[in-house]
Amino acid sequence: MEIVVKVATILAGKAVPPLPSTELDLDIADGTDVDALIAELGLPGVLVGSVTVNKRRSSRDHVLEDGDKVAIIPAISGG
Amino acid sequence: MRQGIIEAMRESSHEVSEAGGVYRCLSLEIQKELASRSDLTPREVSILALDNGFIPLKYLKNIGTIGTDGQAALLRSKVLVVGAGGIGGNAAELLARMGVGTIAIVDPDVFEESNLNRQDFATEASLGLSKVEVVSESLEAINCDVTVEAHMLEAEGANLAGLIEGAYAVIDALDSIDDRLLLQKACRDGNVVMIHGAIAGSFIQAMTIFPGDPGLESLSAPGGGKEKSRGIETETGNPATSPALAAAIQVQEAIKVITGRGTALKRRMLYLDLDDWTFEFIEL
Repeated sequence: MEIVVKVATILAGKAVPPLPSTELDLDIADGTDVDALIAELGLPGVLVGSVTVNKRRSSRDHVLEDGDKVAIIPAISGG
Repeated sequence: MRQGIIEAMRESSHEVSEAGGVYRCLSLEIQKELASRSDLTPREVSILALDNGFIPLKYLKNIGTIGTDGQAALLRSKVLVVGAGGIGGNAAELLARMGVGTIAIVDPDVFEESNLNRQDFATEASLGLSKVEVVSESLEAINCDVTVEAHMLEAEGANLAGLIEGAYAVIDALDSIDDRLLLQKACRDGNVVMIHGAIAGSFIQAMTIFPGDPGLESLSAPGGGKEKSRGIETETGNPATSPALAAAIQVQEAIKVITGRGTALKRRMLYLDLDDWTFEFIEL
């Protein structure tokens, strides 16, 4: 199934291997949840703050659906 | 006495066209003269002027957005800024220029070289000096209406209640998650609005937490970056732009809270990616 993912630029820079873009059209397996998506993108889980699916805050065990728009927001605390 | 001062304002003021209107304005010189020959402080002279239809020239460019009533409200208010680093120093300057009458600022640190890239009032000459003392002197040089309460200490559970007392809003300019949660608790206990802001590299987040509203605990607890209680900023650093923009957003929120104008980030966190100008909101 296909989803669209937006990753914050500073977070995308920490992916291993590096992500080709901060906006990605992805083909993922049925049953993939947010946690699995983060791992699949190679993002360090500890640096992820919040995730939204279709503009709504979601939990890490939220299972994604075809056509979902996901935004991955970093954990930030600087001042 | 007041009537005499108002008469003197009428005689000493001059007309200026601004923001579609014509206003009678008072110069800084006249304001200080009226203060010196009365029992009023410069701030009280400014408030008296605004209450009677005169505008201190220093606030002329504020009037189009906040009005004379909004300006008087700012002068009558107090804002606490917790942290005098990247966000805090910038926020304090903006508050002073907008004419917030009392600004309390808390920070235990002195300026060091790595602060020079982003911290307002960090200069080569101020390295090694107390941040809150340097900020205090600088704000008073910008605007004689402003009283600065400088606290060179670590904001923590034991002292926050006293620091928050009397504040109309608290600006979160801290740099750790644990400290922010402590501040949030103190603001809730003190029934005061907390204006949260945080930065990491080119990323900003901000939210205005009103008493009784859900706050930072409602969002995913971060894993902590390289150090416990910190985020990705431990790996990205912070340039000059993000803290300045975060501070501007937070001060704009403070102005909304105090003047009752505009729509605050109530129950919504704004996330802004400065690298590609994308933004997200999370509604709480």
